[in-house]
Order: sequence, then structure tokens, then C-alpha cells
Amino acid sequence: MLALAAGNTATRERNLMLSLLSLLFILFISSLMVGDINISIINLLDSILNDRSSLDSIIFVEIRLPRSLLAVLIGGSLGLSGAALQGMVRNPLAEPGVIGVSSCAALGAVIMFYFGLASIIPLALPLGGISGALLAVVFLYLLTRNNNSMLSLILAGVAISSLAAALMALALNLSPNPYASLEIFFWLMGSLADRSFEHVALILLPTFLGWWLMLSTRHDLDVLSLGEDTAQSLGVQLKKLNKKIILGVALSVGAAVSVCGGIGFVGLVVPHLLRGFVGYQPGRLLSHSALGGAVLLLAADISVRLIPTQQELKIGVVTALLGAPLFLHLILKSKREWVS
Amino acid sequence: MKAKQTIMLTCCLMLLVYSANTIAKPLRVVSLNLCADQILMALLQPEELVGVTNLAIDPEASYLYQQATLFHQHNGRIEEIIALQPELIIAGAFSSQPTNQMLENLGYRVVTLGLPSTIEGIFQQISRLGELLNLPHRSNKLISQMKTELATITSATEKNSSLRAVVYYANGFSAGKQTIVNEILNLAGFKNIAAELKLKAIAPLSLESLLASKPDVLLFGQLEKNTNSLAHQVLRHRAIQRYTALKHVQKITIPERYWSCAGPSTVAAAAYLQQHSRR
Repeated sequence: MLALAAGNTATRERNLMLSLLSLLFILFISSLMVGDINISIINLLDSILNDRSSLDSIIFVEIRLPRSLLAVLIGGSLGLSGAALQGMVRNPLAEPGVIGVSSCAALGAVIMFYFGLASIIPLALPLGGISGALLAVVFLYLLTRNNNSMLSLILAGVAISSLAAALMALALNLSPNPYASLEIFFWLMGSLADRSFEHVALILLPTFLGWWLMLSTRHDLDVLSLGEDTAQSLGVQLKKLNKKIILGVALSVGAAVSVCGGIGFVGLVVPHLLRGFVGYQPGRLLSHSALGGAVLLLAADISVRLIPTQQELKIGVVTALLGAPLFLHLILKSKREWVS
Repeated sequence: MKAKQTIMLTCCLMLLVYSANTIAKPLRVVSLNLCADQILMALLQPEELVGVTNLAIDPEASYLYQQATLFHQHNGRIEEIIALQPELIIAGAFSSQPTNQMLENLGYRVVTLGLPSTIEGIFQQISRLGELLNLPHRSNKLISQMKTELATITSATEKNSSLRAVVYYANGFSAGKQTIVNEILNLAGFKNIAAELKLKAIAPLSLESLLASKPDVLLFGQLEKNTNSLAHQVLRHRAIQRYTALKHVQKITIPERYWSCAGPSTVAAAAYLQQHSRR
């Protein structure tokens, strides 16, 4: 019976992985095809194969390709970080946006960007984001170490987020550039519009490093779901596990936010939707959440390009519209825990 | 008899002095708007124009930024404006409405200026100001000066073929048909692509549409200074760099102060574009 159930889960998992992968592929191709200009595929192939620049190939290679790649990388980071954080603090509400990691990362990036450091040393931008994110995750970890009730998690998140947003507004207002204070919306909501390969290059290394750190904890996370004492007796080094996840989240989310702003709720929605398919195993959830996050962010990015607004909608608006109701639902569902 | 004559003479003299005073005594004018600053500084002396905005000395935004140092700059707060004891306040139609309303409620004479989008509109605005200030000769002089300069520019543009140009501002905005920038482009002998694309005012133009419109000339605001913002980052996008290199698109950067306002700077902006354009 148990073997059968396990077999079932394995098939379901494989099917899920396959469908996520094919969905990702389809969305990636459509993301490359959607835009203000219709690109002729024949012209495009012709100019790419003959290594010749043309209008179509420039739009394709310099505008749409980096944008789609960023959606995959950042969506993956957000989905994966959400799942890893939830596994670490054993709480389904932990998510980089909700608990204030994104806004702290944005604060770090804002300071580097608007005061000219990022234009002298390009790497300062992701480094600023990563250090901001690291501060927030460490704080969150210290706070929930002895008390992982939902209430303290969410309240701490609210406090961190609003403090970071206020400091960000202060930094933007102090910045010498007159446009800066208008750009707080980008840092709070996020956008992939008009990003280029420079941004992809900036975040590639920290993103992969973060993914590797988080994915390397997947077996330990599964064991941890049995409780800390059991996990320790089974040889899980909790400190090491937590360090890996904290560093992984900071690296990948910090880098993501530093080039595309804080896109919220991806890390909340995706693990929640996928948890049932992987038998509620936090370790197995990781890789699926990464794929799911990439799929969700690509879909959201395609939709902001298709929705006819005068100025393109910020992508965080779409993810928040999807995620906030779910967040409320999760809170209401777990009302009982509020009393404790 | 002699006493009567003396009294009559004195009365006449007093009347003369009084009337001369009322005619010659200039209005104390305060400007609440950067674009009003530009025209008023061309028309009035520092003792007549007792306050300009503090933007007027900003070399990025204000065309007459050097001249503006001769005038008193205010920060736009209502108390400071009242302290200047203005008799006439010139405001912009789009500048702080609560301030305008409050000043009117307090009994000040507030005149709002619109944003003309044609050179004719600028001339009308200048002569309206001349009438308001009782200085029609000065406004007529300014207009005829501008017309002379304009004639030199348009005589030079007639010989040239029409190049298609597009303006790309921070944040990926462009200037469409009903803007003074459109008029400046036409005066300098360019066709405005944003107007072809049915953009009406200042409106966003996506990077893809910008490149697909195949411009001959790409116009940017000043790029050298202070570009640490996302708004300016889009102007340095690799797609623009590669496209301009591929199609040999001419890039002209023009300081914002030339076309941030419709007024005396408009003619100078057209001349600037003409000088910098490679034909």
C-alpha cells in the first residue's frame, strides 16, 4: 500500500515536472514573440544564421531575449526562495516579499544605484541587493528561532517592509537625480521592461550560487518536516541547513530585486499550488517551485505586455492581484494558530 | 492774482507728477512658473519682475538661467510670494493649483498662462503679456526679434530634404503632435515620427516601436550629467546603441532647457538642432 502510494507520488511528480517544463518552454517562446512589433521569423533566422544585424534581430536579441531570460531566472529565484524559507521556518506564509526581504534588498540596491556606486562598479548593484536581503533574512531567522508563530512572522515582516520602504523613499528623495523619487514604484512593484543583457550578466552568478545552496538542502528539509529533534537525531545539522538557506535566499532574491525591483507573492503562490503534488514534502517542493515560479513570472510578464495600458503595468501589480487574495485565504484558514 | 497763478501752477505740476507716477510706475510682477519666467525675464527689469521661481537659475531646466541670477528667486511658498507684495501674479495653467486659488481668494490678481504648442501661440502669449503689463512696445520688439531669427532658420531649412526624427526622453517618453517640440522639429526641418505614430502630447513610446519607426535622427536630452536613474537608463539601452550603429542614425543631444518651455528658447532650440544636424 505504502509502495503504491509512493509510486503514485513519483508518477505525479514526474508528470508535474514534465508539464511544468513544457509550459515553461511554450511560455518562453511566446514571450519572445509578444511585443509591439511583429517580428518575421524568416527574416530573424536569416539574419541570425548569416550573423547579420537587422532591426528584427536587434529587437529580438537585445530587448526580448534578456527580458524573457530575466523572467525565468527571477521567477525561479522567487519560487525557490519561497519554498526554501517555508521549509526552514515551517510556515506557509514565509515569502521574500511578505517578510520584507525584497524591500530590504531594494533598499540596498537603491543606495548603490542612485548615489553613483553602481555606475562606477557595476557589481555594486547586486551586492547592495544581496546585503540588504541578507540583513532581512538573518533578522527574520533570529526572530523566529524560538517562536515560529504566524503572528510574529507576519508582524515582523510588516515592520521590516515598512521600515525598508520608508528608508527607500528617504534615499530616493536625497538622491541627486530628479527622476529618482518617482521611481519608488519600480522598486516596490518590480518590472522587467527594457532590461538588457547587462542585467542578466549581473545576476547570473549570484542567482545560480543561491539556487545551488538552496537545492543542496532538499533532503535535509524533508527530514526537518518531521520536527527538529527527529531531524537532529537523523543527523541533520540544523545550523548548517539554516545558513545555507539564508545565504541562498539572500543571494538569489537580492540579485533579482537589484535589477528588477521587488516582485511580490510569487514565492507564496507557487509553493502553495504545488505542495499537494509532491506529497507535502518541502525538499521535493524546491525544484518544482523554481520551475513554477519561472512559469508564473513569464505568464505575468506576457500579460502586462498584452494589457493595453498607456504605460506598461508593473509586473508586481499582476502578481499581487493573484497573490494577495491567496495570502488572505491562508491567514483565514489558519486562524486557530493566531490564538497560540 | 499772482497767488492764484502760483496755486494753479502748483496744481498742474502736482497733477503732472502724479499722473507721470501712475503711468511710469511699473507693476510689481511675480512669476510662479518656469515658462512664465522665461518670457517675463525677456520683457521686464529686475525692479519690475520682483520674483521668479527658483528653477529659473537651474541650467538644466531654464534657458535664461544666467540672466535669472539678476532676479530674486522665490521657492513658491505662498507666504514668501505675499511678502513680495505683487500687483500681478503670472502662473502656469499646470502649476500648483491650490496656490493659485489661495492667492486669488486673498485678492491678488492672478493670470494663468497656457502651454502654446505653436510658434504663433507663443507670439500671442507674448503680446497678451505685453498688454497686461502695459508694455506693448517691449512685447512687440521681442516678437519681431524672434521673427527675424526665425526667418534665418526657415530660409535654411527649405533647401534641405526632410529627415525623420524622433525625440526620446527619460522613461521612454516621446513628444507627439500637440507639443512645442513638434513645432521645433518642423522649424528645424525634421519630420516628427511621434506625430506620424499618432502620439498627441508627451506620451510613452516603447523601445521596440522606437526602433521599428526607423528614424534618421534620434534626439536625446542631455545625457552626460546625473544619469543614475532608471528613467535615464533606458536611453543607454544596448538595443539603441546597436541600432544607431547599424543604420548610421544620427544622435543629437540637446539640453532640456532649450525646449522645456515654449517661448524665446523655442527659436534657439530650432537653431541648435539645425546647427548640430549632419546633412
